[in-house]
Amino acid sequence: MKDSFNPSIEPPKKTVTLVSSDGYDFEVEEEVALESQVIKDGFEDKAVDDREYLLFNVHSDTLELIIKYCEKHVSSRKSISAAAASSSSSNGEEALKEWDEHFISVDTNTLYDILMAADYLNIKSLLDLAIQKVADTIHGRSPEQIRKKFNIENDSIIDPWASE
Amino acid sequence: MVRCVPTRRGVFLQSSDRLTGLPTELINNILTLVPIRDVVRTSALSRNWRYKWMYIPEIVFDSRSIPLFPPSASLQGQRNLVDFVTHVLSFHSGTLQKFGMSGYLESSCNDVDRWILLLSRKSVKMITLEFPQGNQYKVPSALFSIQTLEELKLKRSILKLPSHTIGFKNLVDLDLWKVTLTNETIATYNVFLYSPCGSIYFDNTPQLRIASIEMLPMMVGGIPLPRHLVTSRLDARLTGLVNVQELCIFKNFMKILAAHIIPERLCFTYHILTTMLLEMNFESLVENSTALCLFRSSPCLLTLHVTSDFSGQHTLLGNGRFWESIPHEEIIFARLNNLVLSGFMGMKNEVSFVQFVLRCAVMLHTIRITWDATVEKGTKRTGTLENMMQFRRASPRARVIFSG
Repeated sequence: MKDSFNPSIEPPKKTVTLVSSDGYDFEVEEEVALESQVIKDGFEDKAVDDREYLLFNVHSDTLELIIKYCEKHVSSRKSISAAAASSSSSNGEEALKEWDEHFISVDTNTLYDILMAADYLNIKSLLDLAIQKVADTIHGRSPEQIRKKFNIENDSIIDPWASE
Repeated sequence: MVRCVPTRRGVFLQSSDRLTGLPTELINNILTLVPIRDVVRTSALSRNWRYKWMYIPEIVFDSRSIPLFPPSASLQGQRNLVDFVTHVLSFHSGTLQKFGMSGYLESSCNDVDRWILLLSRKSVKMITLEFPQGNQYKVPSALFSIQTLEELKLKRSILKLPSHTIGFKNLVDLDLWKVTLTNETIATYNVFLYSPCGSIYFDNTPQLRIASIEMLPMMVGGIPLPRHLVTSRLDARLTGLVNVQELCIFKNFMKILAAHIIPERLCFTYHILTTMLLEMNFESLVENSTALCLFRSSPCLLTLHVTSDFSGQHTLLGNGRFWESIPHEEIIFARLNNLVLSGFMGMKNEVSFVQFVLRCAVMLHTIRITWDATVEKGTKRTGTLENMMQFRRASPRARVIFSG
């Protein structure tokens, strides 16, 4: 996959290629990819012209979401620090939190995919976000509701909560 | 980002249960965020889930976990809660990182003793015990056998140290709030604190005789001190130590003390404090002020050990005027017999401190000065010596001994 021509940015930003488990290439800016601690750790070992990462555990659908998340976080971090430098008040962090909230409001299956991918790629903030989401789903629900929500089959011989 | 034609995948069926299949570590991370009550309930989900909760790394009973529990006045409610906690702790398997309990128990509750015993077998690292208003809870000595403890937070309790205490080797953070430290037998309390925010307060420790406070260097240097420290008076920090005989303040705690608003003297007096050990930087104005404030408040001081710690910080005070500027008629060190000054580098502020002590201490017997190893023997040392020979001495029998 060739780099798309982008005249607005100069000098051209360094990119790395992420390959999903189903064989799709994603070309992303270096700093976006470095949100992943795993990629960051392996970064120094790689030759400059061989910045390609095969992510065997991440499906392209999930990878697309992950990249969206990382791009958003990199860009809003920049704008937050820029706002802090010019000492103008901004609600950047709150806006980001809201964005996160919206981002993670997905169906359970996608949530698992994000959770597993964030764990595999070691993206701490995203992992925390996904874990919190699952925890919130469990919180305050009865076992029956949780089973329904997460498709857990009740194979207990005796269910002490059945009467509830 | 360039993307090929997306395809929907059908690898995972919509109906499959993927939560159960998550790695244990992730399940534990999830369950840690769920109130303990809901965590225990997951045992009813399925056969696979029956024992999962027993391996969670943290057990915290707080307002989140027990939202509408009957008020502690209700005896039955109290009993239910106690049973619940005991059950959870007895069933829990493996090691536990953290145990927390806040605000739900009468402090007369003996069951807490049993929990602490259970916890001591779980290599627990963090314990938080907060008791509601009323009587203070007497912490059992079993607590001191938990050598894995790194963080201890106690609220409204009485800590009686066993006579053979070995202390906590791994303790990083100690936070005592409305805690009474009692010890009739040895009355020694060595706090080797490695606390990031200096969160130690001695609010009510009338029995404490020896207080020795040290903090981990990296914590204070790097992290800015919390603002509430800087705006409170030094007195607030030290008021509970009023009955100490021996006070040892090592350099990083000194830095924390020096970050407060330093009054001319404390609002109380150390009437029985006879020995003080300070590790301080003579080049720092605030540390000098803190030391002076402590000296003024300790009229009975007999022995003073000062270790000069010149940590490269040279910015605040270079002229040696601090100790010279104190009025001659002021009475400080009225009973001081011995001064031991180590790490002496012959800097102006150190020399003028010695001059100040010689001038003030009428009962002075000996000043023992140990040169810092980095100061070369020769002209620098003799030059300083010659200078110091001229100092006026208030005590006729005062001797100055150099070594090192």
